[in-house]
Amino acid sequence: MTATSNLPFSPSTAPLGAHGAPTCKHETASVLLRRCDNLGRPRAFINAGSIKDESGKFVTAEIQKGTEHTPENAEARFAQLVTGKAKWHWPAEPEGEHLIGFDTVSEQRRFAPGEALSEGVELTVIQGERKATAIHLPPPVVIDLREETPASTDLLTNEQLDYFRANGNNALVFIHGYNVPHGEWGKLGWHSSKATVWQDPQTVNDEYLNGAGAHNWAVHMEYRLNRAAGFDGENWMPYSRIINISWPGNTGATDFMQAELNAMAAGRRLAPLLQQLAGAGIAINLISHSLGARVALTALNILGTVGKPNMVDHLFLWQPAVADNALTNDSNRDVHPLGLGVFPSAHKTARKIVVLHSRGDGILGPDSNESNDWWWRLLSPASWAVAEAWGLATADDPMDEILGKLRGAYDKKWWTFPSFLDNGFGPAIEKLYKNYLPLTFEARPPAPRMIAHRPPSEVPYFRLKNKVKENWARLEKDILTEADALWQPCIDCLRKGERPPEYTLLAPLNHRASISPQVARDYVLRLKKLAVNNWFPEQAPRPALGYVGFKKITDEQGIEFDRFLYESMNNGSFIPVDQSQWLSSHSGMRIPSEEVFKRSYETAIMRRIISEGEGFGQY
Amino acid sequence: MVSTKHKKMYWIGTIFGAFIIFSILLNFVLQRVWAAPIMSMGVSESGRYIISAHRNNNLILWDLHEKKWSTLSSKANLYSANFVPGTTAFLWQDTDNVVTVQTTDGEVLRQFKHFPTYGHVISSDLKTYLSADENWNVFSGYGDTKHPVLNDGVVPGFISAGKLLNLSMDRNITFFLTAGFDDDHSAISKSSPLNNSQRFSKYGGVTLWDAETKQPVAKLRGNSSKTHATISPDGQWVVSADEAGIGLFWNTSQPKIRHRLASYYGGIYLDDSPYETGDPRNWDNSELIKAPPGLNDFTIAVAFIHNSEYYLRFGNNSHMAALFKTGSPWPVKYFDLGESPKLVTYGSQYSRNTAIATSPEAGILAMGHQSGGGISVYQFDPDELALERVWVVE
Repeated sequence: MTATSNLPFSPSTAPLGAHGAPTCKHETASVLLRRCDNLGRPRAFINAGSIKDESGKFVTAEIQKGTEHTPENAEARFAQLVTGKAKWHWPAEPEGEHLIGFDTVSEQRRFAPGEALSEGVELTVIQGERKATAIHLPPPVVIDLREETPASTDLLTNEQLDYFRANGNNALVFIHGYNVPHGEWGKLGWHSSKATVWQDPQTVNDEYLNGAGAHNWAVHMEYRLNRAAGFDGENWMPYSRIINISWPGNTGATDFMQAELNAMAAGRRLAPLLQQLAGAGIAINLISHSLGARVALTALNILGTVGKPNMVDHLFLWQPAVADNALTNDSNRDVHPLGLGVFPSAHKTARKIVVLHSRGDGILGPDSNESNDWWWRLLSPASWAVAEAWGLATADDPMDEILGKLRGAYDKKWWTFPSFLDNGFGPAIEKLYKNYLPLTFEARPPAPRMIAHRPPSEVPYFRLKNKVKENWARLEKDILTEADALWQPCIDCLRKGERPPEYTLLAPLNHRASISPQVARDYVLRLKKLAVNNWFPEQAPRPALGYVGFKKITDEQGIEFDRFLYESMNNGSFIPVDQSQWLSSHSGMRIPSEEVFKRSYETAIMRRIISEGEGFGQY
Repeated sequence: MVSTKHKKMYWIGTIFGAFIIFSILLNFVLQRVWAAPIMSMGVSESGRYIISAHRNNNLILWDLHEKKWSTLSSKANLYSANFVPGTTAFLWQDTDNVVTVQTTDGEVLRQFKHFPTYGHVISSDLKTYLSADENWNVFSGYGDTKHPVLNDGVVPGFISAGKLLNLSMDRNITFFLTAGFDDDHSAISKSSPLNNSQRFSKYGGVTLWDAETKQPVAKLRGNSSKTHATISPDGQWVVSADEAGIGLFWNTSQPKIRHRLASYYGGIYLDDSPYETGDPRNWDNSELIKAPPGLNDFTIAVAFIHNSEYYLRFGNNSHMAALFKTGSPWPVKYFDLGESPKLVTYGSQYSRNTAIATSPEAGILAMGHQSGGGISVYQFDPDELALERVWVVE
């Protein structure tokens, strides 16, 4: 706790005229407690807790019943208190709104969230009415795009919108990556109260303190970004909340394509939130990690298609698990067999796009750790195995390391783990079109004999073939019907800032604002081509943007040279940041080393937001 | 008798064999330098001597004429090796933070205690000394004469920017240059270089300073991410290039006029072109020369190789260098620096761009290697526009 005094003296705690009198003879007084957030805005009391006065009596407060954040509802009056030393005890309500300050006329005290929860806040009850202000951190903001919920839940509430407007008129949106469950908040120390901010896990397990899944990412990222902006870790008054997007990328650790489909569906739902912020005049910065890039780029691609230029100030793609040409403006450059590899209009929606990539990312590519010197290679295999096992055991994110042993899981994204050697796109496609199966059959030349004399064993083959034909006809018809039915409604919704309908049969194209009948027909052709190949793509995926950056695609000599991307770097719209020297794992930013914090958080991200962009909170 | 003779022959053969093996091993050891990779380096104006500081804190003096080297210290600051222009003296700092200016003969000309430097330069008359600390702050002088030149926020600096601050000064002591990361669009008049109350520095990009007043003259804008820049020996030209592949140059008498360097295969990007991004008409390739494969616009460093007339640009993950003539955006020639041993340009070693050094007066280029403490030295021929590797130590 830190305390600063507003006065050059401390008021006497001795009640006038009662010197030496027993406590029961002390005069009584009251305390008027106001509640506000760290922006100074009044916050309504739900439960003002109680004050234990010098006589040991617990006094509860009179509060208004209203929940609106008016000055009247933000007042609690504790009456009939005995003058002298007292303590205010409050419940951890509203949940997640941690007490960070307590101001009286003579003193300003600052707390770390949860710090004063057990022992209460000391105050002195003086004759008449003591005025004090309790300052709470605003609640965290998590937008849950996992469940089928009404469209309004994808948006900020008016209260949240007011917060970001008041807090520098800017908002930072963070989107986590692949294989992150929704999780939950951690606990405040040993309390049962939820902790919605980062706590130092030196003595207690990180997951216990800092939550799990998307919530764990939320507290880590929010804290580091605040620190990068200048928050000293002690005075929480300038602390800013960010908007955390939780999306269903946890598809069982190995089904990457399903996670990609989920990412695009989530990106569709994210677009109206960005429109809402922009419509309210709030500047937006967006940070995505890993496959979260697909969520972000889907939203930006959709908004770029419907003409929303530069809606986002900075987009930071941190270790993006998308193709290195994902930002091209030419959809013909897409090598994905189903056409979901590039986001041709995404660049229009962001003023600047910063790509933070690293060759040290063992998930997105083969780990090229430059520290593996000759002496390391000379170690015996046994020593190597021991060291690797130690690496796995001590890794911040063990899944990173395990997938990294596959020499870059991203390169295998068109396979489905664990049977990635022989399934191709099969499992994901068959799940998507489960009502249309079978869609393939084993092709073989017809037997050179009369149909009437066909042996019984061949009858199922012809039946199967006919069934497959029927299924394709039905699927094609339904796909075209879906495209027809949703084309205009999608455009209408996006123009009005509403959640666009989600494609189901055309789910692999959910990154498009809408799908014309022609695009749908082209998609069916691609699908058939893939089916003929038994769901195996003819081309390998492009390397991950988060691994190689723009280096391959902007090689002027290469046949894959993309002039648009090259030029976008030359005119400063796209900015690569090679972190290979300091970021050595896919999720190394969650619990960053000092180097990652300084070089990536501070220099590559926050400096741009504050010095060249629209700012971060009040910074 | 026969047996004794056999035994004798056996021992002679064994000793001779051991001698041969020992000689081979000795030769192997003597021909190689046993040090960690070079982090910073300087070349004497004559081109004969090279001073290098290595990752394992070795300080090595290399003699190009004698093809010899000697380790002068094992306690050198990694980023401190540099030569004093116009002299046979070099500058370095030890890990006790003592900065020394000494001649190649060992005579100490200056010695003073200082903070750990992350880039420093000294003028030929030893009167102007500029140094950067770990937080990007730049100071002039040392001891009692030390005063801040740039102190306006904690980043970008060495640790934060992923590279050290590059400092360079022209031979006439007219200007000096700082370069590190990105650019900043605020006006000099609105951003004092001594405002340390703000969070982030406003002088992260390429900035031209008056060497006498130590005041900023111009912010040279347009670079992106990790940027290397240098000033010509005569102080007339500034060239810069960066990790995004953007190459720029300015004449110091007209710092507001920015010129783009041509990319090797595409030409000059036309800033004011009316066409959409990606349109080939946004590029002028009218004077491009034929470019060999293996070039890369993503740049680690730029360095003057012949007085103030020619300079080299070194691409990332490339063993090729492009030769440019000052005042022209077009590459003049390309040089193959050799694939083996792999040079410091390989990998993401932007923080080792000071392991590339030149003597523009002598036309000598020295480069560290990607791994190992070796060195490759090249001689530039301004008449033939040729670059020849003259010495390699692995």
